[in-house]
Amino acid sequence: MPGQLEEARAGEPDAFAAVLRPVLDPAFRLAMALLRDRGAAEDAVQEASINAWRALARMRGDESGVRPWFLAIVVNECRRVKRGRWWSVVLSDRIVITPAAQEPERLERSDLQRAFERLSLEDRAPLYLHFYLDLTHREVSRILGISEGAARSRLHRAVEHLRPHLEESAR
Amino acid sequence: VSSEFDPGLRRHIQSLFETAEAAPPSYLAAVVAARLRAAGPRRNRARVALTLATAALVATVGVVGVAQALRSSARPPVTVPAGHRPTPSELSPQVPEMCGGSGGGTATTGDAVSVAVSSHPDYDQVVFQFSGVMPHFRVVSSGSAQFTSVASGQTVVLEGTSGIEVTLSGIDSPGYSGPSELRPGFQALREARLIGNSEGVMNWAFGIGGPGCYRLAVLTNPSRLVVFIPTPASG
Repeated sequence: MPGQLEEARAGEPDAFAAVLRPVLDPAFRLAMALLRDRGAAEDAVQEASINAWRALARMRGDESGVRPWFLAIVVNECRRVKRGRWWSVVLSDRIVITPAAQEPERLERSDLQRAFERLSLEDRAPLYLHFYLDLTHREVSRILGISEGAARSRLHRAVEHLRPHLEESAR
Repeated sequence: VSSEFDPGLRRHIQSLFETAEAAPPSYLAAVVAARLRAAGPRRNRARVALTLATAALVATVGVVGVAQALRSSARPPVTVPAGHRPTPSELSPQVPEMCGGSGGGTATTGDAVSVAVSSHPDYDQVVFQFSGVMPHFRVVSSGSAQFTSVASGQTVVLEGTSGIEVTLSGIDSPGYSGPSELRPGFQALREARLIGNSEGVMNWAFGIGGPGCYRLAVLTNPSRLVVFIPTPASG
């Protein structure tokens, strides 16, 4: 993908879309982990893409820096959605029509999944970043905008919350 | 990484993020690309001015926005009996008039779409009809009737003073064989044009004579998305 980031920086939206394409999968999974709703996660990734486009001039480094930079924007967008500020309703009002016949098949939730869903957004995020994306504590802290110690602490707290169910699933 | 956690524990936690419902929809990249094109080129030098203008706009519409948000947040899903053709006034206040963006539907693969336009005393309407389930949709107002073609990247200027863009995602768009351009010349709906149709995403642009606000209704049996556009005198 040589030069696409530079083309994007020059103002080419298609080049920026190409730059973002490889990180949309981890970005969507992150948004799903945080928001637990496919529609909301999709909207969050789309809004984060627009926010990233507007903030591209402030992004430093090469393509290798795109993923952590974009994931940080996705986290912020998910936090904004969770806070439910009033203008998000005005600008992104949504009509949700899900007749029973159209609802996705409801999956059986394991105790582990239920325990995971009880975690706060701030505790689910480091779990995903550290265990699924294999990011270091330092990288996790940068994406979440917190100290490395706080990232480590949140990870431990989340794992301790899940541990009884993890041991149960392992049996 | 994470030497303090054993591999078994790591594997179990990873499994939480590998479910089918955690995977992104196939059309996400196409929708993001379309939205970036619609956003147009970045204007860094105008950033401060834009921020100030946005702040002024927020202050101006703040009171109205809060009132609308409070009303919208409690709004139940709209259900309409099969065969019934509602008017905007019947749907209000469940479906308030919007001048921003909205979306909904199901993230799934549906079937081909047909498009119809009509004019009524107080509003014009566009009806998208699907032979399968309602696909995911997104509706966004714009302050002009100028759009960007998804296929060519060229600017497309429609008749009208404002615009509305409808993005339908996850549909069997190659099955669409209807018109790609409609020029009804109604009072509100001046023109409708298909500006993108690839990778399961259809982008329709409307040129509007008026402020570009709208109401939406989602109807079943068959699945339809109806965009009501008030005529300037009634809006």
